[in-house]
Amino acid sequence: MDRDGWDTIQGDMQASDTTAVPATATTREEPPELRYFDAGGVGTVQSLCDLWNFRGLAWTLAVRDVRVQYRQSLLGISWALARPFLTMLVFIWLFGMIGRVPADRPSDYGLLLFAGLLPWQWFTSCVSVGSNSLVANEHLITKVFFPRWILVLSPLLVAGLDFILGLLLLAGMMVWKGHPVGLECLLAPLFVLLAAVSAIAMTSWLAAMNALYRDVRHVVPFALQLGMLVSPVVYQSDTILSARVQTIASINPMATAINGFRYCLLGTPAPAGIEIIISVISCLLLLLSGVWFFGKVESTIADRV
Amino acid sequence: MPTGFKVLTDAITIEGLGKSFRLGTDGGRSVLRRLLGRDARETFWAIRDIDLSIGVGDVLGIIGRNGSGKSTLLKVLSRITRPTEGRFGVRGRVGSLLEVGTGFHPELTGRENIFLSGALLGLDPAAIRKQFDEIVAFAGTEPFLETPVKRYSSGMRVRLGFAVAAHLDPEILIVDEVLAVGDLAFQQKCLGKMDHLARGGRTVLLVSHQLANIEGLCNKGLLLDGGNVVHFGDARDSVAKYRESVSVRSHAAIAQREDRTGNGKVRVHSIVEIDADRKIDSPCDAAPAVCTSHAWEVVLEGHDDCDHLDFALIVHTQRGDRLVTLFSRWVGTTLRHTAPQTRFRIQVDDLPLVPGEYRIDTWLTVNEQVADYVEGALPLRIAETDRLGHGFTPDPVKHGHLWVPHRFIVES
Repeated sequence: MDRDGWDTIQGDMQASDTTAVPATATTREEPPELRYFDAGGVGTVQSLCDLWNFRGLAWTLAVRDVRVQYRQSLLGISWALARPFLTMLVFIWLFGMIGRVPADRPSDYGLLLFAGLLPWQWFTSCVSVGSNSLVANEHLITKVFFPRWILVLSPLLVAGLDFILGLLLLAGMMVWKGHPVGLECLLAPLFVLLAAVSAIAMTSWLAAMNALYRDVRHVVPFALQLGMLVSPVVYQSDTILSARVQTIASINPMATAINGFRYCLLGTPAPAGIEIIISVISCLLLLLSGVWFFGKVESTIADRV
Repeated sequence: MPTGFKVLTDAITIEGLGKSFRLGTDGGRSVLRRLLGRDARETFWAIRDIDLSIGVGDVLGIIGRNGSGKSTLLKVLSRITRPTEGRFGVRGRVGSLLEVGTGFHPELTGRENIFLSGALLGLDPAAIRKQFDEIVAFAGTEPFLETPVKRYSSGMRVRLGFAVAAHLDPEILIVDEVLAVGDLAFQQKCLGKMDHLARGGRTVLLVSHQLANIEGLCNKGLLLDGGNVVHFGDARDSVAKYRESVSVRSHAAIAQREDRTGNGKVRVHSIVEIDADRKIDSPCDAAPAVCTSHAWEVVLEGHDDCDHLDFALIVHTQRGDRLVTLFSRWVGTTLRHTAPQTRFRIQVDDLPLVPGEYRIDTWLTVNEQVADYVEGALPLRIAETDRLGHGFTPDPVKHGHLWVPHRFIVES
């Protein structure tokens, strides 16, 4: 191979690049910088750039999944409302049978349940769909480059639509019940954000692990059921847990997310400051470690899925 | 052909690039072994020690046998997978088209899929909206825009997929063997589009088995073999080198071939084409000008005597489409093997193939168990003779591979 000659020609060309007037259409603008890629990955800055360049893709994939989810179904998008609503009815009936409702004001138990179910179901559908996303989108991963983390983001958006629709239903229920709403409700987005970040963090871990070992797929549904008991979804934390246990339980960021969300909308007791701090820290740790682990797996993902 | 382009600067530089894979399966016991640090799986280098510099505006054709590392190289350059060693640099955005219709979802309509596939290939929705009508016109699938892609014919899917990709506008376009699909007219359209891109100063990397396309479209050629660069330079030289290497390989004595399957009880020791003795009463006696007879002599070898041998020659095109099988069982011949060697002949009085290059597999069974199967055991060349007697030679691509005697009867 005539590499030496080739390099010389090229070197000459580069040297005279500024003065030479090229005779062809390649005079558009300054050619972009040469960007290098090697075995070591691209670094944080480049990763964020890539993510930004492909920001529309998370949305496009989410739109795809929403469309596909409800195509050829009779009830269509109303399933998004039916799922939390039916779950709510089941628990109202269940605790009605037992005769002991795990909440301060049994008359508001329906609202309390629904306000817990909304963030929880957002979390679970993001995690259960997202943890399989690398495997399910194998045909894309092996054929085209894009930041793989988008496959974690897009299930969050898909489930976010269900969440927003559910929120409308919750608002309707509150109006119907005549439940008062205070200024606290303006804080609700913060707790929603906590839930969303927790979901992404958990999904990053599980999606990467599932790509390596498919065992994860079998564990996730079970773990989510367990998580529903640990998080105050069907009960009100301060009604059945002691203050100490509540503090420990806030290691699970979803506990604080749900408690806070309920506080903002329904005026239940607010989570203590220490609980919020513990939850935020554990959430961020989970996120950083999850993104780090995902990045590790991402480097070989196309060879392994 | 984009000649006259000067190398202003390099669009891609590749330095000592290599990519290896571990052979064997993941999971289960291998997990344990890796934890114990005893991962003894074999390493396989798909590409190694690649050093190249591709100039802006170059159209590089990448050729090589299956498994020579072409696709791995494209995957590394399009950042689908990371290199194991070395590095590469690219100038500008890279668009890659490794499959037609990347990301198409069967449940979604043509319109929705245009946006989906476009987004995956790196086009933002605004750019797609701007070019939407052009894309649809290029694909020619306008009446089906609101139909789910699952109801498209495969041809329509291909056209739509390529139409989206053709409207990508990256500085560097990477295209894997995607032109092998689609009809001829559409292929021409795609080639035209790529030529246009190259003229606009884009750098194109193209893998194709259709050597004529490489020669026609590319100014640079890269020939890979076993993951290494065999030739890098003028496209025509690369193609010539490749043609040479292919014919050398297929002329390698069949006895030396390692890439064969079967239990090996009896193996083909040699097969050579010989002059056929023309049978006087052959049906093509009537029109000798259009008859081609072929004959092969086969020598089998094996340590033990065997009854119940069956032998087949499978004739296929360069692309691997099987055309005809000559099979001893069908014609009622039972072969026997007597150690150490058995010799027999196979004869076809008229092989109705149009002129061109074909390949032959040999297939041998003992007691209905495959004993020896060699793909591409020998080439078959049908020379360009004036079969019809009026100077017209049928072309395999345009007219099909077969020539059958026929008559037109006009009632007067």
